[in-house]
Amino acid sequence: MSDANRLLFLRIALIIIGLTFIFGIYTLGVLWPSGWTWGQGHSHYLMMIIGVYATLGVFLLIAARNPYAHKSLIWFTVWSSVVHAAIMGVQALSDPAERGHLVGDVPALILVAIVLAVLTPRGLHTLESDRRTVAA
Amino acid sequence: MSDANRLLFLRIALIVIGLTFIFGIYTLGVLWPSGWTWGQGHSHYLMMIIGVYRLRIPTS
Repeated sequence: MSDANRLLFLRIALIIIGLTFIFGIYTLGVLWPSGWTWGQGHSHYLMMIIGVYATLGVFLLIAARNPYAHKSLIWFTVWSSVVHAAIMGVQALSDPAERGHLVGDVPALILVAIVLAVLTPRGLHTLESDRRTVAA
Repeated sequence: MSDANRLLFLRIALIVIGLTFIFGIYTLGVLWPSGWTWGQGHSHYLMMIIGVYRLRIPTS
């Protein structure tokens, strides 16, 4: 994959993931509760999680304009998704009432982590977008 | 405040906040539940929140 293609795919991924974090988490919880909401009845934590992910989604959309200037945010998204998916995976396996998450939010967050980790370059990168950032 | 002092205080703040996110959220929830955990009984979401905040490690 060329650097230009990789950057293009990374920008598209950031936009799709950002929009999903802003609008999708709440919507999926309503439409597909067995895969996307946890526990029985009301939980205060659900709205906190939705708020945190919606905010992260907005910043991922900002990062999509120049991903290489926002690499620490992208790597935070990768690793927090891995940790979040691992915690949910253990919870889904240990609680029979929550097994539906193994085909819902758990694989979805792992997919987010894999896509961003594959498309985000490691180390220093001197692409045109980086030079523009420095010049600005 | 000079730029050098501001940078120093910012680095100290990032380290303090980072360590609090890593170790403090869980500990405060145990020691001071009325102020730091929500709802009655067990919630899966609590451990998710703790996990996400632990990753906010400052790169200072």
